[in-house]
Amino acid sequence: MNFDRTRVNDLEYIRRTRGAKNCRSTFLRIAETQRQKALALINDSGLMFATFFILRDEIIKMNLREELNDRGKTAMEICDIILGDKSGLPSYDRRIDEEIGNVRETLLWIFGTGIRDDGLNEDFDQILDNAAAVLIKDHCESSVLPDVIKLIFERNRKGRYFHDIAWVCFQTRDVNALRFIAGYLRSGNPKDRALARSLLNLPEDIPLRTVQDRERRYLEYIEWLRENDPYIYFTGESFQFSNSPILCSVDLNAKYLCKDCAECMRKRPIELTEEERSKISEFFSLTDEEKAELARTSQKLYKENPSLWEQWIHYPVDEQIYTSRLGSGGERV
Amino acid sequence: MITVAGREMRVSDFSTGFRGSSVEKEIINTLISSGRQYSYDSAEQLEFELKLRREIVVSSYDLNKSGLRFEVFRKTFCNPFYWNRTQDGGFSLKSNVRPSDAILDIYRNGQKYGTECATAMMAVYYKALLNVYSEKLFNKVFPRIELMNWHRIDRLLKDVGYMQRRDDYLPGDRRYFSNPDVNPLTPEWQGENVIDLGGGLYYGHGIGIRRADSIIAELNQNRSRNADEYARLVDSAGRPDFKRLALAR
Repeated sequence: MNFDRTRVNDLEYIRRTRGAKNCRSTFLRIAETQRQKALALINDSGLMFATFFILRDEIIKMNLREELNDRGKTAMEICDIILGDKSGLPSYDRRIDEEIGNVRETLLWIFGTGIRDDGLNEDFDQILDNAAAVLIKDHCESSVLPDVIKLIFERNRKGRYFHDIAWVCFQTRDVNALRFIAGYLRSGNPKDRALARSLLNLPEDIPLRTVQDRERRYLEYIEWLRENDPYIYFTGESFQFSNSPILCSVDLNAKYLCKDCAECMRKRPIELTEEERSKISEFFSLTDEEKAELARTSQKLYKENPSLWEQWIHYPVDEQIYTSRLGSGGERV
Repeated sequence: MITVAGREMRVSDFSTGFRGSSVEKEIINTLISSGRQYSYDSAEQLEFELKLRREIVVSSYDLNKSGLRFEVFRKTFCNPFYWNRTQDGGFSLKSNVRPSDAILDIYRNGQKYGTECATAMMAVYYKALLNVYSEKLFNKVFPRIELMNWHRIDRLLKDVGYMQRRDDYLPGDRRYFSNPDVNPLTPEWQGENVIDLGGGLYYGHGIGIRRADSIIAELNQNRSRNADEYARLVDSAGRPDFKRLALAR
């Protein structure tokens, strides 16, 4: 990689061109003779997290920790919390306290500048994963989603561990995650396509060999997503749970009633009121195929003609199926 | 209901001369009283499943005593004499060792190994099969072993990775306690893979042998700030294809 020498932080430049060991010894040398310069370099806004990460021991050795800027102090604290001993037993109090100054901005800095050095070492990768998880779960920060997905696929290509970061991705409960993942159905790399298919729960036998096949499957999936977006919820299943986890699903009750799953934060199928239960009691007795068909008709009609849908939803289910198959748009025949 | 070669079995069929352990008796009672029909081609096929399920339970108790450490996938370690540690934290059998020796080493030298709960579950299944098959057969059937979770798994054991809702849950099943609101800093507590030991007990690596409510309490201790969902035992199980494994003998 080429760097614009005039714009890159000196420590950053040394680490990238001469390696971590050289960067550490250079930093120590500067800190011993020019303390303020060392602080300026480590507090520089252009510094990437990876360089900060490899200099933690030197920062402590030179008693610079208390003189770091807020970002640096918080980053040190986050590293301590994440890398503390947690073998075996649970750590009940392991938390990145929201009281810590600028924690959200620091986590964004850690993850946003850190991913380019993913694979530096296991501790570093763990910090990236945990930073993304805290941003998404505690701070509802979905802006990191594209980078999280990129990381999943990059690690998968290299045969590295990606199950935790994949779990983080689905914790966003953001349908955009599915949209980003679907893009990998078009990838030229078979590993990308296989993983995208697995994450999207598409059948193993769908053809993805030719460019045309891939493009068609991608467009079909996006169309499916457009139709089902409001009714998708995330199951909470993961690769820890199963070799073929169903990570998200369409809530057919919600689709039939045209109720947005966002009401339940996409955490589970929607909870029905007594009135809704009785309204769709017949729907419950249908086969899965019939439910899917009827839910699709209901959603389409609701979108095209809401007032007609208001009448249609009260028809007996057999009549709804009949009109659905006739394609009569809900008009009584 | 159990049928063997089309004939319905009754409890009395197992009472005389049946020397099954309490685990096997629990399984038979559950199957016989079930509304679902469990069909076996022969008595040997049924006996094989009972025996293997019993050995899965025995191997779980043994692994719990082995000294095997808990480590997240990033920090796993293994005895390098028998296993290579893979990039994703799994263990891959070395080419110059016998599979049976490598599995036994996990049990004999547990302190030389540290791994997550899913890998431990796979070790349990392999050890149970080693107890049931002869050593020679085991080494022939499983010449290459990968231990990780459910994603690099021998075709004969892949069904352990499929979680499905079951009519009945039996000792020897793989179950899962889910912790949906886990603390994001400890994703390893997002759930606990366990073996159903019968009698209401479960073995989970790192958590030990406990009742369901105790495991749930432990997982609940590892939830995130503002958690609004409790940990729970998922209504599904993974189980090997016992009939296929019986045919491999």
